[in-house]
Amino acid sequence: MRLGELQQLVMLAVARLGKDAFGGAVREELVRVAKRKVAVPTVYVTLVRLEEQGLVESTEVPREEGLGGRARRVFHVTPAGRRALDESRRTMARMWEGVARS
Amino acid sequence: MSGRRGALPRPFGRLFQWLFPGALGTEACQDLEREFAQVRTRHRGLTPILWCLAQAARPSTWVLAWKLRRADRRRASRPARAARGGSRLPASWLDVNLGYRMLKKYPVLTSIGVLSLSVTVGGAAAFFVFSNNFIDPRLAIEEADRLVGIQLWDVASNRLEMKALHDFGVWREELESVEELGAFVRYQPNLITSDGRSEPVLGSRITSSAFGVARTAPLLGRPLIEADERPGAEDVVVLGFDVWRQVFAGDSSVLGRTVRLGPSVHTVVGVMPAGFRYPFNDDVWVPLREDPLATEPLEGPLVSVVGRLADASSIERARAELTALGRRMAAEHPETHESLRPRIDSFARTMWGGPTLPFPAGRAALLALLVVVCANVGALVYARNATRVPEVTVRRALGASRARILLQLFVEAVILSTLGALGGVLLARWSMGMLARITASFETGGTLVLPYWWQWELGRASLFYVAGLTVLSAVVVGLLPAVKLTRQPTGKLLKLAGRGTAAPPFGRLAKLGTALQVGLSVGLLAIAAAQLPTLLGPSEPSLAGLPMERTFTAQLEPGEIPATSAEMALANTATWAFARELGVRLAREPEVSAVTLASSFPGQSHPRRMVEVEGGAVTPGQVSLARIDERFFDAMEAPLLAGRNFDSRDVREDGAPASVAIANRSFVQRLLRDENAIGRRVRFLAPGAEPGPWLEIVGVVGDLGMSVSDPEAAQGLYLPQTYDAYPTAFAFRVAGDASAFEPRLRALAAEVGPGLRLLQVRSLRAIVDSARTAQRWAYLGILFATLAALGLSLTGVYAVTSFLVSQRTPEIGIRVALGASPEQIAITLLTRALAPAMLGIALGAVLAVGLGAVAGLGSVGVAIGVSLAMLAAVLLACIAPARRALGVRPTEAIQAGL
Repeated sequence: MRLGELQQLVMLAVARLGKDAFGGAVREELVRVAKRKVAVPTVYVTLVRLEEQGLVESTEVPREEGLGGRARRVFHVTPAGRRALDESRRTMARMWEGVARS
Repeated sequence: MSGRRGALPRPFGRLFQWLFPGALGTEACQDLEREFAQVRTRHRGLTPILWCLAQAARPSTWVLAWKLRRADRRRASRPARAARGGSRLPASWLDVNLGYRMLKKYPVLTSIGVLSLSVTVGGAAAFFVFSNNFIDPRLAIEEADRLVGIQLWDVASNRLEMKALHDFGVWREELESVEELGAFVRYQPNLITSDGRSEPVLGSRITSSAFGVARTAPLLGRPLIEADERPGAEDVVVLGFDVWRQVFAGDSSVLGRTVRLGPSVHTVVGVMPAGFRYPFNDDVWVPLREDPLATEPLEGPLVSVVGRLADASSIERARAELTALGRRMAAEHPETHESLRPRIDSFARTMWGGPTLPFPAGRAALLALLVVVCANVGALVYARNATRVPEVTVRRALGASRARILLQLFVEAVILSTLGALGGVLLARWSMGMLARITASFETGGTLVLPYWWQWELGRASLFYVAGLTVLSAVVVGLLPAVKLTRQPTGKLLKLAGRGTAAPPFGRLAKLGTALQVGLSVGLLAIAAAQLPTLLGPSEPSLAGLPMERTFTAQLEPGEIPATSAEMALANTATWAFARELGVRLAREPEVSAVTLASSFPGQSHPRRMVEVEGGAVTPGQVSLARIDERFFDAMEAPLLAGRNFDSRDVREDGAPASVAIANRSFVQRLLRDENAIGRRVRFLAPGAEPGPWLEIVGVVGDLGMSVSDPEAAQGLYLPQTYDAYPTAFAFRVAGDASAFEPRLRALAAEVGPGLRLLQVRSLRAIVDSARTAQRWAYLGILFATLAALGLSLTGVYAVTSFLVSQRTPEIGIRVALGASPEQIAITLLTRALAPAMLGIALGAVLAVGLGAVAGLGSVGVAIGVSLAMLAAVLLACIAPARRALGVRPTEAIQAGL
């Protein structure tokens, strides 16, 4: 499955964050590491779409005390998502081969 | 949220909370709040609000909302479905399935519903297609919707003023919102080939601008150009595809060859492609050479004006500009233009009378009829729903929302309406195929001219219209009864369910609707019944003995329509002179055994006038008239029964009125009471005018088909030919193959009067057959409408009775238990159910008698007969519900009632 750039970034953020990969954290990770400021709904839409495509999965976990007590969704990359990310990286690497460094 | 620091402004907070349900949605809202807090610390003024607006306007916001809400709905429906028994069918499909089962379970209701809706939707769709040919026809012309026609309307006499050549010149000079303005004059010459063949063709004398408005390139050669319009320019013609194929056998070297159009010779400069018959069924186009501004106002030929809306303009703008121009013209030329108003409309409508015809009213009437029909079917559905109260109640009690139940009942109605609409489309297609064949036969016979854009096909617009009708039907059939049923609170429904009835009262409106339908049916039935004897009776006895197959008639008409009554009189006299000359030439032909010139022939429609007989023994009556020459009765092989024929003394060519007449047998029987007619005197009466001079009856002849359609109006008078009145018709009898003689006739006509058109060459038999066919189709139309109306009214009565039975089931049971006889119960039910029908029958009888008195379309006897027949039909419609009522078991009813 071919991934768009934002999809790749969001999945990588999910993978990096591990068990802390909920929506707000994914968005902050994009800002912090990728220096990409993405609108809140866009991040969530991307997560929902990735979940519909079976590339990420989410589970509802209770929040820690002091955070309102409401459950929240934590995402993790599925094996299919992992394969799609690997394929994207290989594609990019192949394309970069032979391109002179500037 | 709004109370905390950093919270979104209240409306946005609420919006996002509503948009984003579920845990993930809450997280998104919290992220938005956090970001909003940051924005507010960095920016003052309106920026935070604008940020909120920008978030709300983001497409991703709405996509997320859609996805989260959909997921939320699915989550919510999962446990409910599991509780209902775990059906995996999506709700909508389940509804369709249930609806289908309900239709199967109630076959009578389904058949009545589908049939009534089919007939009404089919009728409405066919009328939509028919009226679209007037209102919004599809012309095969580039950007045809920007083509406009401009006309002069005389508000004083309420008629079209076509002598608008001068006005056309002014409009062309001054109008800015319409470009390429051009004019054309109808032109109906005979096309005469080099070998002497002559064919009447339709065409236009047209300006190059009007020709160019169509933006259609010629197949060969060039279109008409401005240089062709200059005085002294060569006479040129552009040929239509069919004429090119028929006359020149599709010869591509036709350009430069000459063709005779009436008396003048034209050089062919172009051939138009197949299907191009703009502006109105045209086959040839020649230049219009009149100079508009050199023509005095209200002078010149009868013109039509066509143009194209300028790029940035609209019809409203053009209308405003034209109105202003019209006011100015009225002020500048009060003597001619005081009551003239220019008006602009789509081109096809100006050519085909669209705005003057009540099509929108017709469509509205059909829509109203559809609503009435749907109300009938809806009443039946309501009556059936009454039996479903327990089902609905249980579902409500188990937590089904009202919307959910409404949806299910609505889907049932949609299925019923869709079946009806499908039937309607099939019916419309079939009826339009039939109409296409009928109109084609009349077009071939020359008695009907439809514009070239006419279509009898259900296009995309018609199918959309049908889809709209389907939704409307479904709303009336299903939704309204369902709303009425589910409006009851659950507690009341539970009580009703316990008693086994739905009980909300049946509307007075529905009863009134039933009464009106029954009334309409009786009226229509009376008209149809009154026509029946004429159509089913033997063929017109007055035509027996006439040489119908061997006698041919034809009509001569001038090539261009005369513009004034003076021109018309001149044209008539000239045409008659040609006809007399043609008669002389025809008589010399060896195959021709008789020739006569007359205004009308047996089997044709004759003009009718009021006649008074001297002595006044009988009240004046309408009689048919024909002007004939002295050879008429010989040609028709009809000897005089008494008196003498017309002779040269009677035919007054000095314009003096006739002084003699010949009466037919029916005239003598009905207006002279079978007394001796010879020497009696008659005169014509006209409302608001002096009576005409007395005419002496000099002869009596048998009935010669003066009124084929109505034997009651067979009385007629023959007057001597005056050779000055329209129409110019003649008849001749041939020996041998008559159709083989037609080319010879056309050649003779072209020799005598090349500018005249020879039309409607037909045998007397063909004329009578055509008249009878038209009459038969009209009758079938009335019969169909009657049967449809009858069916609809019976549906109404059935619906009322059905409902009453379902409503009163417990009561009936109790009465049976208390010892009431079936007859008593039947009488109670029928009197209530029949009340609206009886009112309708009374209304219909009044309508039928009224029609009989005013339009001669029936009589009191017919009205009574039809009313009794209707009563029988209504009783028949009540049988099934009444039987159902009498089948109610007392024990069940009492159990339910207590």
